[in-house]
Amino acid sequence: MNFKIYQLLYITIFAFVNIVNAQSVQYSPLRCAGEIPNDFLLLNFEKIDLENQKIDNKNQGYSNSKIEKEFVNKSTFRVDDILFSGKILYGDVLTNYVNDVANIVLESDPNLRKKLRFYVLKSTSVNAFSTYQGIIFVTVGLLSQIENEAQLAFILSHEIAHYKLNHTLNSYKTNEQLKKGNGKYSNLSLEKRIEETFNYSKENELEADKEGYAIFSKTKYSKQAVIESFDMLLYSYLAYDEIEWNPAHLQDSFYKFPSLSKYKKEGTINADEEEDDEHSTHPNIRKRKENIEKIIKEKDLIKDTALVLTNEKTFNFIQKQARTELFFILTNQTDYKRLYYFSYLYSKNYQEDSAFCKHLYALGVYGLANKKTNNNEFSTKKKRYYLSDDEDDEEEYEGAFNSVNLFFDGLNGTELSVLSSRMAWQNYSANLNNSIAKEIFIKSVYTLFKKSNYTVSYFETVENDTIVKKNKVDKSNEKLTKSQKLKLKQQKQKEEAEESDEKSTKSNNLSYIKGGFTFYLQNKTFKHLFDSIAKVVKEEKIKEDEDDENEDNSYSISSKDITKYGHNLGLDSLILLNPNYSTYKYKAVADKILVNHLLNEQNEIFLTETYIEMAKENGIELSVINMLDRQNLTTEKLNEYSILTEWLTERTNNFNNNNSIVYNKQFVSTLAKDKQCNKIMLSGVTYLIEGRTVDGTLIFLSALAWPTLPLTLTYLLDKTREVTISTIILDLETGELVYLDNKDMNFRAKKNIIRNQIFALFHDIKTKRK
Amino acid sequence: MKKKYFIIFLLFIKLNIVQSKPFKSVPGFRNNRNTISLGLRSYIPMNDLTISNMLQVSKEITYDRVLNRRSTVSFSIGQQNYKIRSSQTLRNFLDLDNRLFVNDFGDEVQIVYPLGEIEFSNVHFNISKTFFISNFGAIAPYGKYFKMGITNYFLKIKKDNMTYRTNNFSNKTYKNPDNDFVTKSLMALNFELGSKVFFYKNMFFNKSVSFNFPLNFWSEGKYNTYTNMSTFHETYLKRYVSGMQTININLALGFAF
Repeated sequence: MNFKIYQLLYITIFAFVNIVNAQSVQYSPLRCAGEIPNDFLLLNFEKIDLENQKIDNKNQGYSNSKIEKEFVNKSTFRVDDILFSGKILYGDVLTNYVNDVANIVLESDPNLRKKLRFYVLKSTSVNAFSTYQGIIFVTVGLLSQIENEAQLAFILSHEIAHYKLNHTLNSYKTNEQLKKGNGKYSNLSLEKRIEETFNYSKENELEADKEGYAIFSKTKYSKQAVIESFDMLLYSYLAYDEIEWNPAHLQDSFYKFPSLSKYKKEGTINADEEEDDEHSTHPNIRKRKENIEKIIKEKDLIKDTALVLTNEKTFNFIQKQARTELFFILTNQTDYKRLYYFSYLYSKNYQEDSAFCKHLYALGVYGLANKKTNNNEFSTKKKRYYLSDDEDDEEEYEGAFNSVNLFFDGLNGTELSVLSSRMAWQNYSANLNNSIAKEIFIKSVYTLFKKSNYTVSYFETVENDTIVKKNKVDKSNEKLTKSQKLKLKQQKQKEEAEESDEKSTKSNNLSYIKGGFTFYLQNKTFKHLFDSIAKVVKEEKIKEDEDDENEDNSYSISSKDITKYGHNLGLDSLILLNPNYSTYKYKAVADKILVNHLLNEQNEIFLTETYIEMAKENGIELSVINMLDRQNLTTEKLNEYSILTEWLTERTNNFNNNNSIVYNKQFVSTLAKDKQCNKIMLSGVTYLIEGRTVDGTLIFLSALAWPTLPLTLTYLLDKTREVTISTIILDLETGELVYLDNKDMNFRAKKNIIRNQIFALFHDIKTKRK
Repeated sequence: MKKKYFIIFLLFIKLNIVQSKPFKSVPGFRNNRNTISLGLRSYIPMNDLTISNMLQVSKEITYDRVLNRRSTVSFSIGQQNYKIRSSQTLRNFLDLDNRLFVNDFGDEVQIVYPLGEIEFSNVHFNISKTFFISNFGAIAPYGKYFKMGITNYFLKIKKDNMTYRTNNFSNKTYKNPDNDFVTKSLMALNFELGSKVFFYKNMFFNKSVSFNFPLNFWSEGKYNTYTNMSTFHETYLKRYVSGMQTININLALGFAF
């Protein structure tokens, strides 16, 4: 009997483990889950008060505690900005996994573990950072790039070491001393002091590596992974995998690109272990490797070999989930080339999910087509592939992505819209419920006919039926890790560069697009849709021509133009997203802008209260997504906030594009249904205080007419004040701009005046024009 | 058309067209587009500046109606009792010491200095248009404003106990024989700068400084000889008030409805 019960138990546990292992990847953006952590429940001034009490209890003297308080003030607000950026994850699979690894790393030090909190940050950059408060952020980009769990464990222990050694506070203190030239730095010149700041930061990194290794060495993870993790970091600015790309897979028997060879130019990889790190906060990889190699004992290298301590399947799942999440981050950034390339990599790595990838292919290509037709893409400077603040003029990207870039740069708007409509149709025909694929198809065919002079009959004529030979993909690289592949590639490229330096010429032959739809036109449903879109465009064009003829040449502003972003909307309900209040004081002497974050926070609380009050007085139902009502904050509210911010960032990136497809709108529309309101309001107050520049002639003139002197002096000593109350209302379903109001005023920002202005604002929105 | 009517026409018809913005709704103060305020208006008599004179304030009631976001039209009525007692003030009242008037016997008499007291009532009506300065965050009827209008003063002497000592008949005093006074009218262009601040619900506090330019200042101020004591006083009363009301300060409490 007992045996049977144990057997049953065993089976159930085994089954449970299997279920856990066989987790399926979520194909929508990850959201927070579970109970909300304490970090989100306190306002900044409360957090600062608590920290200040701790500092006071230390009894370390006035000047020291003053600097510490300053630092706490600044860092609390910075951390809060990240926590409430809508990009933070907790309780989800990724964060839970990071916490599991952290538990393993800190198994021997439970006290330290209790002090730390780990969150995942939705960002494509490969990074992890720790804060003074004991929060460690790990980016999705990092999780997508790590080759094994041991690498993550080492990176976490490196960040834990930063926290343990209190590096953030110490570096702030020394930086302050270096800035002012106090203490032991008083004799140094300015140049040397700047140099010293970089040196100090590098020392900290090496120290954290050492201490991190000390923590890491207590685990059973492979010690070899530590050195490998540096290689991983060296190439981390590139995509998470390096696979040769060729546009041949986009072709079919009727549709082929004129010259494939010109797109095969891969960029040289410039990553260097021994790069100059003089002006970098981190030492170069060579130095870091040497630093660690000194400590690693050979015994350890042999003893521990485990690359994964949780579960290999779990690790693979997490990696896949992180890579899936990258797509949603890229759609928000509207970085369509990368979106396309990443989905290509994804399809190669996870062939079972090709449907999901193709779906994103089409979105990426349509995004590019739309950008090109609107002439937005190529007027601006091209950005370098990896994330960096300084803009380089270099056109060449590193690695296989360069050929993707060359390919899409070479195609014009019509070519791209043919391509995207082909892709979208493939997705739509595979799954007729795919609404986004349908939208992409319709919109890309629409832009094709609208922007070019092609007609349906042009695509119906069939050309010679030739079959394109499929390019063979070199599969020898597939088993190698990313860093090994890249190293091999770097060597190859050097050899190739010596041999030839030929440049391909561009051909303007567009006749190949003729075969773009030949294959699909045999399908009845395709033909029906294709024809009907063409018909609509034709009618629109005729109408436009008529309008052009009838239009008056005289230019006049009609009342319709003024009310384009309408006043008097007659709205009864609104969603308000966290109103913003910021005060800036500009000091001309020091050329500095001073921001009092604490005051701003209090003002923001006042502002949200007034918005609620004034909306109520006007009879508008206002559901506020209020991140300052910390006591009543829940995970649900945070998720709502992140859904809206994600939608907004994507929407604002597509602001001038009328035909753009906002991917996140599918998640927003469910939120709008829940709230029974489809209008979102963004509003805020900025208050700029600036001193007047002293005018010598004015003083001289007023001195001549001496009775006016006190008046001019008070005028000059007084400050200029600018208050801007700006409001935008967007339609959540269409993304349309419904209301735009920007009031620039010059007055002392008194609460009463702002209250009255906000009343008038809501009055405008509420009243209906007769 | 008389000049002053043309000015009224300009104020209320012409400017209204320029100011109106049809596409913006009129909120008033939280949907309250009417205000009533009770105030005290203190004159700073440029011709006769003493604290006691400044304290003889005018009681005023004002009604405002919001026209659009930027402007209101306002009507006010005020009343003031004013006494002139001290000899210096009396001299100021008459503007110059040595004035001539014709006495009962038909002789020209030169006044050395006046004595006694004179009391008059000043009832004034104001009709004006207020322009709220939107750049300072004002929305009618709230915030900083500039006001333009016309004030009409109705002046009547209530009590006249003035006596004059002349040099012609030594220490002979002349007294006003009759108390039959006529109401005199004085019109002035009025410009006002001020602000209305709501401090509790719909209650507001209004403070302002206004400048008045009398339309009949020059015509009434001419040198004349008078056969009648009361017309002599009435004429000089107008002249005195013209100077007196040039600058005045107004403090008022009101509510919007």
